Amino acid sequence: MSPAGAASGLGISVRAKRFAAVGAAPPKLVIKDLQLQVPDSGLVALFGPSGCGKTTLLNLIAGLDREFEGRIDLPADWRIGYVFQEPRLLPWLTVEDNLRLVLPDPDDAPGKIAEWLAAMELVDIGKVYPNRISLGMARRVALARAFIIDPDLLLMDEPFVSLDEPTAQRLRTLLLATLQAHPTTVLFVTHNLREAIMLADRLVLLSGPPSHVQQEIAVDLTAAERADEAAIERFRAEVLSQALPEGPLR
Amino acid sequence: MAVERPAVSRPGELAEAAPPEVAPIALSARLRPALVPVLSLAILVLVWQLAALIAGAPTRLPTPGAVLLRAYAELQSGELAWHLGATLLRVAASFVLAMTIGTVIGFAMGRLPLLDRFAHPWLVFLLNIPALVIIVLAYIWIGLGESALIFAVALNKIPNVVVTVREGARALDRSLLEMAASFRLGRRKTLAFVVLPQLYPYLAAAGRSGLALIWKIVLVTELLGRSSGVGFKIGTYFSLFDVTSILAYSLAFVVVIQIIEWTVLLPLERHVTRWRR
Repeated sequence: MSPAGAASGLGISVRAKRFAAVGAAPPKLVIKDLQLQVPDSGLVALFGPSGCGKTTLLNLIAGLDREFEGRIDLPADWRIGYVFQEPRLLPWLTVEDNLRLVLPDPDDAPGKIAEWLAAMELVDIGKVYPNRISLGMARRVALARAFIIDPDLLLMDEPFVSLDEPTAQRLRTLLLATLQAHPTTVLFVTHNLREAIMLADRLVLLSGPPSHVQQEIAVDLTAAERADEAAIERFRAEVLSQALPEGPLR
Repeated sequence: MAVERPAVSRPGELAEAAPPEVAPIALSARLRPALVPVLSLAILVLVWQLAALIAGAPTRLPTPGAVLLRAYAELQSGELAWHLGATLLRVAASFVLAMTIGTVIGFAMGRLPLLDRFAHPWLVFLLNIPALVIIVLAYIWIGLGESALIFAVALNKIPNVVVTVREGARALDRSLLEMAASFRLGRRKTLAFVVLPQLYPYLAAAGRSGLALIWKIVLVTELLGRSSGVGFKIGTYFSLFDVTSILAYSLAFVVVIQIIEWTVLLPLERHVTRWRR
């Protein structure tokens, strides 16, 4: 863990992020005056309409896109685990080798790979190429790849989208258990309010485009309540009742 | 004529063409596809044999048997191996040079739009210069030596490699590059595990077409300015109008190139694409 990370966490302050004009399309302002603090070991869900620049924001934080006005404050030595919307596994590497690839130190690879294959219930498919596994398995590999580097910050972009509901629910439970065992600062994007309530300790409702923070709602549920569908449903009704009229929930 | 006939669509001709050791009726359906190329080669040899017999001019068009005997005689004398070896070394050197330089330039052009715009006219220029011009100029400017030959042959091939690899570099999957960047894989790992595997199909295409092009150009280059190699021998036999020897050398070379294709290029290709299966 980083020495500076104790109190600081992740600070986001994006004044403007534009995409240049492409062909006939005019330049597009995707993020405007977006401020957000993610405390250390906080678990924040970004919730907002499609196309409001949530993925763009994650890419700014991950350092994949540096052309924006504003600043992203995070300790320089933070390791970032990124779970993309699609698993983005390398198809020419086996599941094991996909995990091995992201480990900086090859010496501790065998132990860690075994540990994370077991944690994500992937032991049988370690030597299989990704085009032979289901989407649900591929997403678990992508989660394992993000966790195996002991990330200080975990970014997830709709990690459970386009899975059937039972599979998605199993993965959410798995993720929650994993995060309890390995406390990590997490920022994740979702379209699914139940999912956001089940996983996050804070909901950030984004409006846009251009994207900005419209409302923040704390999710003060216990671990037991998060596992209970009725409790999540009650909290969801409460969230909907206090959502601002022009927000993404209306 | 023959009662046994292969179960292929044009029975009349094929029954005559099939040599006795090919007994398709007895073979399982699983083996038959492998026999099609054998059969096709057999037909080619047969057509050649018939043409030679009809022409009745053994000095102009010798029979396959005569060519084979000549090749055997040249092999016995050591001539064939020496000249074949000289040509193969030149092919190998030019091939490695052209692939290396072409890959580096093609990759850079595919990734850097400004460089691409700048270098594209040069590329078009090189693509359209006749091989012969490059060869002649290289011999004049550099002198009649090995380095001029290898330079000229490589320069003929480099533009093709550049064009193919540039396509590959342009088609690199952005989402995988982002994955590599976000996990901070670093240059070495990104190149070896993310970029190169995406380029393999393009490198394989450039390599296989490259080998075919290069050995042909090497022969012309040898004919014009060297005193060893298959091209030199063919030039010599051309002045003697010795068609049998010309065919013997050509045949030997084609066989060697095919062996390289089967034992090196194809297994290599199968290895790097094994994940697709």
